[in-house]
Amino acid sequence: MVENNPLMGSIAARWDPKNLEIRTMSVEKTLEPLVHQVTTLVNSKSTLKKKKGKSKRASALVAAVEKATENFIERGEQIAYENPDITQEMLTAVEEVRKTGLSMSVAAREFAEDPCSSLKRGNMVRAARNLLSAVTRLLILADMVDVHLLLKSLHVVEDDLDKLRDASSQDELMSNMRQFGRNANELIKQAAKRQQELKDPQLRDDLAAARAILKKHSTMLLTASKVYVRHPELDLAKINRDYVLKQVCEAVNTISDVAQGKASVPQDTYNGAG
Amino acid sequence: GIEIPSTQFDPQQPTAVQRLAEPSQMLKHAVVNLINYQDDADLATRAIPE
Repeated sequence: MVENNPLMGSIAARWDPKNLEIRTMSVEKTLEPLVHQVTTLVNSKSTLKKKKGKSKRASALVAAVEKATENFIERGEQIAYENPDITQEMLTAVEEVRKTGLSMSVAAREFAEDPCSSLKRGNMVRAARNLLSAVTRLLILADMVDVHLLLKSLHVVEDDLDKLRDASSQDELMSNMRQFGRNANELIKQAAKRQQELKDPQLRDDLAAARAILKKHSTMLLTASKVYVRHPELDLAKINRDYVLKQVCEAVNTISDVAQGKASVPQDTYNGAG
Repeated sequence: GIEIPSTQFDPQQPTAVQRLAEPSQMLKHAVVNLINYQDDADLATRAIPE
């Protein structure tokens, strides 16, 4: 699957659990406590907040972990099947959660039978660490799913723009324009979601600017295209249409770059003449 | 109960990450509760008089 999908291939190749660069707020907000926990579980138990007087039978706590793992797997599988393009990668990650979850379950049961054994606790902590690492991997893949959906919507708009460029009659133009309008609205909505999530203010700005261009230039694109289709012999009509189309295409490319984490060249607006 | 931090911006159409946020936090809490269990067990051991 990775080989068949160049986008996922490149993203999957960048996965490095030792160097996690988290670009979105949702992922950060979700992962931060997890990653913290993964390290503190093994390093120090004194950093864990103890809630005295809340003891339960160990078996109930083990059952809670098993149930929570099951719920997480279920949600992961749902997302996997809803996104056929990435089902295989997601299911592989889900399988890893299931496998580490089973090891955790075995280690936890052994610990529950003998809670004073440091060895059994150590085994369980290692199993917990593996489980939470697998959970982290699935969360990062879920973020890739979100990016993939945005890019999918973006490719539809790119196709619409090609059709608009090639339209030769008013009817064809109007039909293509309606389609473009619908799909561009969907893209603007998805890009807005991503913009809200991005941590980097420069990338957020880039997305905001691209969305604004996409929104404001749509009407201009319609009028410029109408004039061009009516008067293809006029050079200025073509230049005008091509200019607006170029602006819209650049906005779409910006959304694509930001979604794939490609940083734009920072512009120093405070330097220069004036 | 446990307070789960919300990352939902649009509850109507949550993103894939947002849909996994709650179950992953629940799992983390369950794991931490289990690991804390030894503290209680240690306490019980110490409390038993010789």
